[in-house]
Amino acid sequence: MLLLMENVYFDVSLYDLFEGGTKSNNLKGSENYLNPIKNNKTMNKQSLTSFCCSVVFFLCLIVFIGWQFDIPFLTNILPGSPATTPLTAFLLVLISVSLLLSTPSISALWLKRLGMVICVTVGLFSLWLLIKYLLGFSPDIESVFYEDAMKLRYPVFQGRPSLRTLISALLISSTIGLSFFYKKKQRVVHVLALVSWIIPWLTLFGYASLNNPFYEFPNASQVGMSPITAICFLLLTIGVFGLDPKHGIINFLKSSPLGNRVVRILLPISVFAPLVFSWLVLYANNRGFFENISVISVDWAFTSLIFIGMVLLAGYFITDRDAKLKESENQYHRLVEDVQDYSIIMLDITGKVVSWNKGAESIKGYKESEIIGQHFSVFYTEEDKQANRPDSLLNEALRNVRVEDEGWRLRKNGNPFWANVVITAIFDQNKKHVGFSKVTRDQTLKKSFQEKIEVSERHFRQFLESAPDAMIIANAEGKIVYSNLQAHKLFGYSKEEFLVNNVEELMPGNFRSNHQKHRSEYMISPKVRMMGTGMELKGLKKDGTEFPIEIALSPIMTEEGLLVSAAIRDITVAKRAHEEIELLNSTLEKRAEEILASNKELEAFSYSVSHDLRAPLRAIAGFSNKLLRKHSDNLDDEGKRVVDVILKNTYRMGQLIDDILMFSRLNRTNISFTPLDLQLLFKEAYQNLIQAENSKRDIEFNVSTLPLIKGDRSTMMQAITNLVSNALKYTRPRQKTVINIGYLEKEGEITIFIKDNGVGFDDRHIDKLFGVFQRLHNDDEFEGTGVGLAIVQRVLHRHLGKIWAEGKIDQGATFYFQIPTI
Amino acid sequence: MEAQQYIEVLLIEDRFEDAELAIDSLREGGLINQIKLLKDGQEALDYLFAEGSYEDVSPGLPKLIFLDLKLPKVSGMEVLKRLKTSEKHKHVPVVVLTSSKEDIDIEKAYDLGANSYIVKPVDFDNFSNAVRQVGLYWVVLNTSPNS
Repeated sequence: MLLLMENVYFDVSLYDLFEGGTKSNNLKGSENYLNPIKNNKTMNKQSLTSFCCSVVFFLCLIVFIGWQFDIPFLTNILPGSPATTPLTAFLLVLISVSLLLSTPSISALWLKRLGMVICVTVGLFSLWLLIKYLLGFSPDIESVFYEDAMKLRYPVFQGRPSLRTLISALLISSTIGLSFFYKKKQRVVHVLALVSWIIPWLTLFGYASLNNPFYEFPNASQVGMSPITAICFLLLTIGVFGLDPKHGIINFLKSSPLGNRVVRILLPISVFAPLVFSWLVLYANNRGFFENISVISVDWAFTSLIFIGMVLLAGYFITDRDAKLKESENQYHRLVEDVQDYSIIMLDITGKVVSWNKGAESIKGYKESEIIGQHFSVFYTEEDKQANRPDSLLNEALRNVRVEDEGWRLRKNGNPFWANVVITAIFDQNKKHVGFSKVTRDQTLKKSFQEKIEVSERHFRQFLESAPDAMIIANAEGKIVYSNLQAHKLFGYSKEEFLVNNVEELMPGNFRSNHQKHRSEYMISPKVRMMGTGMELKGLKKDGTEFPIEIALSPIMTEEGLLVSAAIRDITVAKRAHEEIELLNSTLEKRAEEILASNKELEAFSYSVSHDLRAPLRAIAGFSNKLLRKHSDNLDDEGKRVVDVILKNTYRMGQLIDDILMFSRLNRTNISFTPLDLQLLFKEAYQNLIQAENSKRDIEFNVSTLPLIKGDRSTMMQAITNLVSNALKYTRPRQKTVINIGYLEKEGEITIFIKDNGVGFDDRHIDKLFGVFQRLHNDDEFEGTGVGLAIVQRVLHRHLGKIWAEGKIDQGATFYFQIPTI
Repeated sequence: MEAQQYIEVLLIEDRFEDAELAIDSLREGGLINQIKLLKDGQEALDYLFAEGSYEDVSPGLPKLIFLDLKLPKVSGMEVLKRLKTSEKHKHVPVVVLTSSKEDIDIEKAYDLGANSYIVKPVDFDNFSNAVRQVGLYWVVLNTSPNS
């Protein structure tokens, strides 16, 4: 258990080194363990080498301290085992330095050269010591460090490094030297490094065997490599492996998840497990546990167990990996099978279907069992088949690897669908053609959508053609991209001429420069609006004539960008009509002013008439009267008659003036509307008139219930009085006067009538009946000014009513009037 | 002195003929020698407010004033306004005697405080009757605060 933990710990810290971290945090390491390929960027590639060299430096420092203060534990570790000599430690330090300098991170040339020089020097020096050793020369330079202590502790060797140490130093320095020269042949370097691994590794095993002086081998040397030296050499060898992470062991760890797992877990086991086991076996042997058993047999047995364990582990890793691969492959298959929108099928080299997915089933309608083994030409139409289209597509796919096609295909039920097809030729690892993949999309909807768009575009164009206005569509640069028939007629260009035109060519020169500016402004904030509101726009025909136009703009977003449609209307006629209306209006206004002015004059005139014309009349009447009354003695009968005539005419003149004033006042006075009962008005007027006439006539005056009206009391009273007075006047010759007043209702219209049995009138002159000063009777018969009925008509007109009359001579008269009722 | 003679009726009228006829009618009604005729608005004001040529004369207030509207210099409306806004004169009855039948004139006259408004008819009998009756009413029958 403890062992396992140590292994894990080692894994992690080793792994950390690859990750470039100085992390010793277990947890962190475990996290990264899950994803060894990750974090490549942060990885310091030579951190393994640097780490190894640092440990070597540290161990050598300990050795020097051990020699300096004469502490055997620091130089030997195990009592009785050989010590690391100061010279060995010195050589190890030099080798580490040259190893460090050989890392690719050292780029300065002089440092590289220094490393090379150190390396070669150490190699040659080791070789020289080795030769001296083998030829039996006594040590001399070997005891250069701590000479006294050396001679004291090792009278024979006097600090001479062991034979193994020298060979190892020679090997490792050769390896490092090679790595300087053979940058591209790292494999050679790695092989050499593995060779240098052997001696220190065997030495460590020797120590693990306790009482077995295996570490002294070969015996002739009489002295072995010290455990510290062995560890240092192993570390240096590992450092060499770390020089180039792209090759060798480090590469396994990095580039392949499986290799990483195998090396990371199995390598430490294979390194340490035999070491630990051989120590355990020998320890047990020393204690006498295996008295009758061959130690070697036990050792082999354990080694075999370790191998079995490792093989099983490796097998487990590989199976695990395979299972994962298989799972992801299955997922991929299911994905393909479940794709609904795409038909994804495989064909063999002859074009027969070998695999089928759900998308294929839903698009083409065949079930998998029906279609497997059939040739894929069943999806093609008869014409395509006859044109040998399926095979030619396969051939093209074979030539170009991939071919794309669009066209009608057939579903199982015979219905066509618009397909987008991609056929790809499939080759195996040996580039042998094994079949085709065929991916089909059902584009029928898209196709019909496109067709609809085309139809709607056609409609749009027809619509534009039939528009009553000239329509022009231009792009952002002002170039005309479309124009309708009306536009051609209006401007006089043909369609072809239009399409090379810019819109500016359709307007007079003085508009052009501004228009370019306005056009670019419009493009920034396009909206539907009239162009140049408040301005008088002009168009320019091909023949050079200018004409007034109105333009409505609206932006159109299209695939080709923003276009602007302009509806252009020739407003020559409208403009002329508008001008005429304005002229008429101004004439009318002038007229109205004139009328207003003349009305004012008329008012002043009538005011003056009422005062100034009547005053002399009054004087004539007054003094004539005075003449008659006070001076009648001086007048004979004829004189009296003459004065009487003067008086009568004066009164008549006064009456005329009063009537004419009243008539003219009717136009000027404001009338206010109140509800009026016509029946009451008639009765009141009749009473007033009868009292004024003061005669004993036989009169039958009938007035029925009449509708209520809305009117001005005083003017309506005047009109009704005039009508009744008229009736009374013209019935005077009758024995019995009959006046009937009532109303008729016809189709919702109410007509009021006033009918008398008087002398009537000559209806040939009916048009003069309501005229001012127009009379149909002589003054001798019936007095009157000819204003009364004119006043009646005027009053009714002001009440939005109307009046007319029927009558015959001696057959009475009937007056009808209509007036808005309540 | 004539100035000290008590004047019962003041007639303000520029037309001599109208004045004569009016005076005839008043005399026929019995108001003799107590009628004063003034020919224009300015003279009327001078007389009533003792100004101008009437400065030294203090005739006292008449019992009745007949006022024509159409007068030279100062209009009848102006005279009416002065009289009816004066504390001393406002109780003197003023009868407007004019040719105008215009509503606007009638309304304005009553607004200013006229006591009667008589349109002078062309017919002499009517005219005569109207003047006589009004004169008698205001001078004889009516009791004013001044009398």
